[in-house]
Amino acid sequence: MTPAPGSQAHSSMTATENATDAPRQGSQPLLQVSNLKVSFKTDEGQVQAVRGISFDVREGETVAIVGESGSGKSVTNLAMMGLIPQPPGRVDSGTALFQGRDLLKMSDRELQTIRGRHVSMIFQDPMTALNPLMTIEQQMTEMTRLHLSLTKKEAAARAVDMLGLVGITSPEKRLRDYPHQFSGGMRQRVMIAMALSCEPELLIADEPTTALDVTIQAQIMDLLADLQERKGTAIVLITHDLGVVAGVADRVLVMYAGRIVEKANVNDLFASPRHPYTLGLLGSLPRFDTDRHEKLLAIPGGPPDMSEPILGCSFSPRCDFVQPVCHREDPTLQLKAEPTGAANLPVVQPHLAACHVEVPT
Amino acid sequence: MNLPDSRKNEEALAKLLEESHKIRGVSLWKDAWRRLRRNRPAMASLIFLIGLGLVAFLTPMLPLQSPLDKDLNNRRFLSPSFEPITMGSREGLKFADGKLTSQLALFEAEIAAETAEALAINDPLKQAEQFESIQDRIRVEHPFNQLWNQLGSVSFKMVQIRVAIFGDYAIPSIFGTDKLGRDLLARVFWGARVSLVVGLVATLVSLMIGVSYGAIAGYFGGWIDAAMMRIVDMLYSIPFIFVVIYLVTFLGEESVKAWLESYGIDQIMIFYIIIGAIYWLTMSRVVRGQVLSLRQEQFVESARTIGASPMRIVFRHLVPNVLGIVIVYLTLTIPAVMLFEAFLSFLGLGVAPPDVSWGLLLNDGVEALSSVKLFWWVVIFPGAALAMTLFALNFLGDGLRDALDPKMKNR
Amino acid sequence: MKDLLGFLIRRLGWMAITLWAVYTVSFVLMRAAPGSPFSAERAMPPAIEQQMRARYNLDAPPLQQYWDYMWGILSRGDLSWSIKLEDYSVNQVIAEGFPVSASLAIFALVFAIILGVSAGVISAVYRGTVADVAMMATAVLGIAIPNFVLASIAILLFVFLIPLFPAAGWGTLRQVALPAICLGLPVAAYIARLTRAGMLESLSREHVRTAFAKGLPKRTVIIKHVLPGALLPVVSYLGPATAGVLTGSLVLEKIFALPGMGSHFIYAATQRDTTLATGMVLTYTVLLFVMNTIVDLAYAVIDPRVELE
Repeated sequence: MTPAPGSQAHSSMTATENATDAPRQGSQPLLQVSNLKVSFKTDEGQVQAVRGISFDVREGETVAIVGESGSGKSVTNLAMMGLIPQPPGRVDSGTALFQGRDLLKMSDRELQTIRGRHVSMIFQDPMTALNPLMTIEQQMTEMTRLHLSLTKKEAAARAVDMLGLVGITSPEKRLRDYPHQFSGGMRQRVMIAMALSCEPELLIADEPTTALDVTIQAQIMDLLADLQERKGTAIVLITHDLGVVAGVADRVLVMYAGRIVEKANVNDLFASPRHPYTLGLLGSLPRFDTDRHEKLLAIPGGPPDMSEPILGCSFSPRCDFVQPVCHREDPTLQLKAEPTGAANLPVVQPHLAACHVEVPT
Repeated sequence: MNLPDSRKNEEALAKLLEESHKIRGVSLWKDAWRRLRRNRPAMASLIFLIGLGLVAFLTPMLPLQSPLDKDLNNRRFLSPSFEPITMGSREGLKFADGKLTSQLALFEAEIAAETAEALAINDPLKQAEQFESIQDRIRVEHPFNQLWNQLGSVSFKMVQIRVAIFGDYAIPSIFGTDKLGRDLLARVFWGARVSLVVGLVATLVSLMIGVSYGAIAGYFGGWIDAAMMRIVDMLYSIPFIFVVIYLVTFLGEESVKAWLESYGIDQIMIFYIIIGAIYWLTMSRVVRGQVLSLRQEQFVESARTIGASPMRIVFRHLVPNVLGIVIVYLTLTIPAVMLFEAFLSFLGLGVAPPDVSWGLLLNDGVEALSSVKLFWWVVIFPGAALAMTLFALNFLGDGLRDALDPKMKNR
Repeated sequence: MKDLLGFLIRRLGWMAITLWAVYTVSFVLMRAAPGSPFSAERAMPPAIEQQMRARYNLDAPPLQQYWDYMWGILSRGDLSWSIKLEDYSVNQVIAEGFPVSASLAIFALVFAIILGVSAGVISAVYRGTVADVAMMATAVLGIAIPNFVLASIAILLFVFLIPLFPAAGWGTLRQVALPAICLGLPVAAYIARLTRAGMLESLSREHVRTAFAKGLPKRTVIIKHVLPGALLPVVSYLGPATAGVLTGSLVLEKIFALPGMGSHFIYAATQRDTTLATGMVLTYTVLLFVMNTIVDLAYAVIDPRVELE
C-alpha cells in the first residue's frame, strides 16, 4: 500500500479519518468534512447516527453518498447545514470546512448567508418540500431577493429564466401557480431551479429522484448533469440507489451504519467492489447482462441497532466473508487498490474499503 | 439451475423466514399503553380520574355529613373548620339523643312494632292499608330519608353500610357550609356523582350517534356521504344552545314533565340525551374522515369479497379501527359536556334541586360571591373539583392522542 | 370571481333551508307546549285576552299561524310583537340588543385571537421552556374553568378589590373590556393550544426545512412559512368559537347586567315569549351562518388547495 502524498503522508493507512482517502489530484477541496459524529436522543437511548466520517468535495465534481435508509447519509448533510433539530439531534464532534470556514462553528446568522447562497439543497419528496400555501414566484424570489439583493422585478425575471432552464414551459404563467398545480417531476424541476437560482458552488441533492417515476427519474438526473456542466456546480448526491449513481457520479462513498465503508471512483466501485456490503448492494441491483435465471440477492438481516455500542465490524452479522477478527476489531478504511483510468478523471480517488478481508473480485 | 443452487436458495429463504419470526409484533394497544405509561401527567390524570370515579360511586358509604340537611339558624356560611360534628345532632331534626344511630334504632323498633301489629290484623284489606301507612311513614320519617331525601335502593344500602361502619361520626365541615347551612364537602362529593354521570352518559349518547353516523357516511361515500355531511354542516350553523334552552324549558313544563313521567322518563335522562345529541357532530366528522381513508384498505376489500354485509363491515371491521381516535375525542367531549352542564345549571336550566351537581354548586357559590362578605369557600372548592377533573381529562386526552398516534405527537 | 359568486349563492340557499328548519322546529316546540302564553299571568279580562290573541294571531289554525308568521318575516322582515315586552316589537328588541352583543362578541373574539395566537406561537417556538409549560398550563386552566366562575372572580378582583373597571353599565371601552376579556379567555386558551399544536406540526414539515435550507432567517421562516399553515386549524375553529362566544355571552350579559340579546333570550325562552325567542334564534342562526361562511372563505384564501364547493 502506498502512502498518500502530501502533508499527511506520515499517517498510516490505519487512520480512518484523513490519511489515505485524500484524492491525489484535482482542484482545491470546496468542502472538507472530517470526523463528523452526530447522535440523536431517542426513547431507546442515544443513537449514534453518524459515527465519524470524513470526505471532501472538489469544485465541479459529483460525489455520490450511497447507503440504505438509516445509514446516516442524509443526517451527515443536514448536520453540516445546521438543519437537524437540536435537540434531539447533536453534533458530537468534527469539522466541515466550506471554502476554509467551519460550517459547524458558524452562528445561525453566518449559516444563513451560506445556505441557499453558496450551498443549496434539494430534497427527496417534491410533494412536500415546497410550501403548499405560497406561489412558486413567492418561493423562488424570496431567496434571490434576500441573497442577491434583487428587486422584486429582477427576482421575478430571474425566476422565469431559471424555470426555463430546467425545462418548464411558459414559465411566466407558471410562476403564479401553486405547487399542487404541478406534477411530481415538475415540482422537482422547480426545486432544482430554486436551488440553483443563486448559483451556489455546491448542491446537495438528497434522494432527488426517489419519489419519482422511473422515466422522470432519468430526466431529472440528466437535468442535474446538464446543469452541472453549464454552471460548474459541485454536487453531493445522496441516494440508496446505485443505479442512479453509475450515470452521474465521479466518486462514490458507501455508507453503512454511520460510517463510510468504501470509497472509490465510480468505475472502480462498479468494476470491483472491495467491501462485502457494496458487493451485496450490487448483487441486489437488476442488470441486463446477467443470466436471467440468476436470482437477485438480498442481503440477509438488517442494519445494527445504533443505540448500542457496536463491537467489531458493524457489517459482520450479515457478512458472507466473515472472519473471527471481524467480530473483534472494527476495520478502518484502508487502501485496497490504485485507481484505474486516472488520467481521464477530474479527481483521482484511491480505492478504499473498511474491511479485514480481501473480497474476491 | 442445478441442485446445490436451489438448495442454497431454500436455505436463504429459510433464514429470511426465521428472521421474520424473530420480529415480534407489538399490538397497537400494547404499544400505546407503553407510551402512555411513560407520560407522567397523563398517568397521574388517569389515576386521579379512576380514584374520583370510585369515590363518587362510593360516596354514600363515606363518613360525610348530609348534603341536603339545612340549618338556617346556626350553620349558614360557616367557614371551613375542623370542629367535630355528630350525625343527627341538629336540633330541628329532633333525633333521639341527638344522634343518628339512636334515632335509627328507635325508629326501627317502632316500625318493627307496627309491622307486628299489622301482621296481627286478620282483615286483609285493613292489613294492606296498615302496611301502606307503614311504608308512608318510612318514606317520610326514616332518619335516612330525613337526612338524604329519597335515596335509591342501592344508595340506601350503602348508607346502611356507612352507619354500620362509622356510626355517628362525620368528617367536620372542612369545606365550610353554604347559604343554607349545608355541608359543602358532602355536597361536592354528591355533586361529583351527578356531574360525572351527566358527562359520561351524554358523551356515550354522542358517541353512539356520532360513530354510527360518521361510519355509515364514510363507508357508503358518494351521494349518501355528501347528503349526510351536508346535514352535519347545516347543523353546525344552528346555535344549539338556544335550541337546548327551548327544549329544556319545554320539558320543564309541569304538564310535559307529568306526561313524560307517565312513560317512566325522568328529566335528568332527557337532559343527558339532549346534551349528547348536540355533541355528536364533531365526532361524526372525525369518524367519517377516518373511515373514508380506511375504506381503501385491503382488509375491507377482503371482507367484501367473502360476502360480509355492509353493516357488518362498518361495525365489525371499520369501527374498531377508528376506536383510537374515538377514545381521544371521548376524553375531550366529557369535559365539554361537564362545562355545558355547569353552564345550564348557572342559567337555572340544568340539574334541578334537590339533586346536586358541580355546576349547581358553582352557581350557588357565584351568587354568594357577589355579596359584600367574602364567602370564598363556596366557590373555590366546587370550582377546584370541576377544574381538576377537567384538567385531568384534558391531560389524559392529550396523552392518549400522543400514545395512540405517535405521528400526531408534537414533542 | 365566478366561483366566489356561485359559492355565496349556494351558501345563501343553504342558509335559507337552515333558517326554515330552525323556524319550523322552534314554532313547533313553542306552540306544542301546553297552555297559552298568557295563562301563566294573573287572570286577564276576557276582552283583553281576546284582543291579545288577535294581535298575535293565535286564533287562527296552527298551520295558518305558521304560514302567516313566516310570510310576515319573508315579506316585511317583521318578527311580530314581543309577547311579554308588550310595547316592543321583536325587531326593536333585537335592534337594541344586537349592537351590545355584537360588539361584546367582536371584542372578545379579537382579544382571543390576538392573545391565543401570540401565546401559541411563543409557546411553540420556545417549546419545552418554562414559559411554554406555564402558558400551556394556564391555557388548560382557561379551558377548565366555567366562564361564569371566571367572570365572578374577575369582578371580585378587578371591580371590588382593585377598582380597575366599573361593575356594570355599557358604552365606554372600559365597560366593555372586562366582560369581553372574560368571554374571550376560554376561547383564547383553546386557540393557544391549537396554534401551538399547529406550529409544531408545521415546523416539522419538509417545506419548512426547505425554507431554512434557502437561508431565510428564522423569523422569516416562522412568519411566512410556518405560521400560515399553523393557523389553518385556528381558522376552522373560528366557526365553533363564534358559537361559543354567543353562548358565553348569555352568561356574561347576565353577570355584568348588559342589555344585550342574550339576557333577552333567556328571559324570552323561560317566560315562553314565543315570538321574541323565535326571532332571536333566527338572528343567531344568521350570525353563525355568516361567520361560518367567512371562515370558509378565509380558509380558501389561505390554502389555495381548497376549492370553494
